Amino acid sequence: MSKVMTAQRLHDGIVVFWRDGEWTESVLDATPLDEAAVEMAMAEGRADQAENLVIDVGLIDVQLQADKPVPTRRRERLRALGPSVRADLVRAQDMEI
Amino acid sequence: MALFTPEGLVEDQAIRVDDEAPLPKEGLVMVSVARWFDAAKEEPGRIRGLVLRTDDPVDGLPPDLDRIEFEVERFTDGRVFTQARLLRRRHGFRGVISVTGPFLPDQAAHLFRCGVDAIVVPDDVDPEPWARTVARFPRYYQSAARGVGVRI
Amino acid sequence: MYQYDAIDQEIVDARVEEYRDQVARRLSGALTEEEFRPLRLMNGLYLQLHGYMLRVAIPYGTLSSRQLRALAEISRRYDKGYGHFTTRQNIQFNWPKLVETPDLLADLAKVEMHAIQTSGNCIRNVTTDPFAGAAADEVEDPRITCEIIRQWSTLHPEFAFLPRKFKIAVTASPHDRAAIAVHDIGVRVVDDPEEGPGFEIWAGGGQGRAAYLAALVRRFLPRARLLSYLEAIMRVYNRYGRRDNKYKARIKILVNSMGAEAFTEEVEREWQQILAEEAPVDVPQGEWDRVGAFFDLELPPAQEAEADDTHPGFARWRDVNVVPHRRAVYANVVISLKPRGGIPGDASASQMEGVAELADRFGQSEIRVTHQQNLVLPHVRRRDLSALHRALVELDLATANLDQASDIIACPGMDYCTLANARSIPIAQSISARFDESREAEIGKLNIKISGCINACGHHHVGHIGILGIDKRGEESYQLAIGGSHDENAALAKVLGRAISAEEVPAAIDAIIEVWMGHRLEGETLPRTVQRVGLVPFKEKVYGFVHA
Repeated sequence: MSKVMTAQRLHDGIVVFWRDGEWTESVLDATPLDEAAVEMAMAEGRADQAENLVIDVGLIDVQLQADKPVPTRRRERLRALGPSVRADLVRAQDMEI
Repeated sequence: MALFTPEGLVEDQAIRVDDEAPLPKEGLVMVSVARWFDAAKEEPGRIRGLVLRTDDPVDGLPPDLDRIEFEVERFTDGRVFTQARLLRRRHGFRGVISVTGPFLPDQAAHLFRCGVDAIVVPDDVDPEPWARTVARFPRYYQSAARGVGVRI
Repeated sequence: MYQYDAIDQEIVDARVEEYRDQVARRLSGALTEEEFRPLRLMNGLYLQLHGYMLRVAIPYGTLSSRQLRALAEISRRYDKGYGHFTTRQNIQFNWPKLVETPDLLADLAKVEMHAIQTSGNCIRNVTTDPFAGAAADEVEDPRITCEIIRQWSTLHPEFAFLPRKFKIAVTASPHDRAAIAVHDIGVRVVDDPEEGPGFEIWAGGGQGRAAYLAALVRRFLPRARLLSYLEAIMRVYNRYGRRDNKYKARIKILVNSMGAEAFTEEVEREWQQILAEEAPVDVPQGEWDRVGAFFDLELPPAQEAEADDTHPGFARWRDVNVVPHRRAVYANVVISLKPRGGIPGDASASQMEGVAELADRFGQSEIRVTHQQNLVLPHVRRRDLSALHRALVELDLATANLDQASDIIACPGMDYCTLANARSIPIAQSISARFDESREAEIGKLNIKISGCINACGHHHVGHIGILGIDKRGEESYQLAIGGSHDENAALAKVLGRAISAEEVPAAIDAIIEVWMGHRLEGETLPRTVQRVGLVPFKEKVYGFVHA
């Protein structure tokens, strides 16, 4: 199973995902990481945390759907998408809760 | 180490002696409560301060010590505020009350209000954030061990 | 209502600047997240599932129309145009940016508001009866006591780092609308025929993991001694409350492990020592009088005639959402924030502004927030009720469902909260959408409460029907309990059986209601029926129905 690295930006709290050396707000744009890539990514994530750019750096499980990473756990899908009860605030319309 | 006090940074003269170590001949010698109870055997007059933990009671302590220090492992352990308050107000301790542990500058005002006189800080500490937080509130609602409240 | 003087304003302004300093130190890295967390929490700032969440204090649930307008403006400027009213009579904003929160707080301070001690292991915002000062059955306005407690607990130097959070509720009526039995300290204002004005003091109640009803620790406390007694309880808790396990750190665990009697003895001993000290903390009568004068509201005269109205929906709304006032020509109006199929407790910026406008037009420019997540307009002339109802219809705020099946309390659940194991709001929506006015009229009063985890922010332990979201092998599942109550007959709901899926919940609720209606005696509430007939008929119907 692939993983995606995630965190929250310190200055505004927004949930972000790791895409090849930068943070993106959409999980669908994130880079799926295999076991070998996880360690390198986490080292960079922790460095950003130490720089006070992000907080709560961690990994979540994803499944690839049409080559896009979609979190497997519901909590992580909600976190990536926004509240399921506010259709107007959902971030990625083409992903299901 | 240094001491941050309401008047600013001063040198910490305490000599904290482990339970097993020999007592120095001079200076502000401080020991644990356990050692103090044995102190009668080893020149009690030389001990001038005690180091307490946050679960130690504060009644029945010798009144004529120069200093009592509370050693705190986590800055969120709020028992020390009550201990200081009781030691100062209820038990009338007149010596210096100090605290040592990973305190934040933001706690200094509350510590002082509860009767603490000095916070142990690293020698190279920047006293500015500490001084800022102590000067922040011109008044408080409630009276405390140090300071009179505006309402209560 | 209470108005700040220079001292109150100075303290709140200084707190904003202190917080601004803390945020700057965090952003610069001078504070680590671990160090910053308790500091930001003590100012109401959480890091939630989607971002920061700021909980703003609405002291004892009372707002002026000016304050409500400011909250609306803040929700537009710093958030996404809405706010969520909570079971602790506060309001939460779900999307503020850390960098902007100091400015948000400065804007709040301009209207005498703050987020001080709305979270963290300290004494939280004190809550009370939403009909305070307007209820027919109160001894005196409980907000006088609340304001005294607010001031005493604000930046109290000794109790800022308690073992765990600490919640105090005050009621001044025999009918308890403040749920004092499930608070760390419950205060009941009394006027004893022999002893005079004073308080009954309860301690050790609470919901969450291991729910307890509070124990009576003092039958009568003279009014003058309130704060010294509270201080005695706080000190016993601060010294002896557990700090090794956050799940066992609430005062309810201390009270129940020591035993209520031993706990009370310890408190009384501490109190006697406080009284023996020089200048024990207590409020002089002059301060009681000063604060009391703010709540001494003189209502303008009103005619008795009640306008007859055939406007659709008015009669039912008046029967359900209008609560008696201490003066017969006046009424208290509950504005439901529970639209059928909607999100419990949410209000948009324009709804907030609309309510503020109505408070100016029909009330005394005052609004209350209830622990059931609704709003109240107190002091409305009865003759204005029909005009007010029409105006509420325009704002989509005229749902006639106070204390009905669709008046559901729900925590934000997994849609917003990092602690939740399951969603709460969609469950509330799926239930409330099934009830219309005529069905509710047949059913009568029914409180359904939903929490997304065992922390019980949705008060499921004291719901007539309590629903608890759990995670069962990765699936959102819901445990049902029945027979709870939060008033003066407080009782904890009993678990019905195994947890069920989200899809099964509405039918299970129907089944419970059907059994209750089949068994109930005239005027009997669901908790009473459960007490009388037991759980078995409910179990049979619910689990029989679900697994037909």
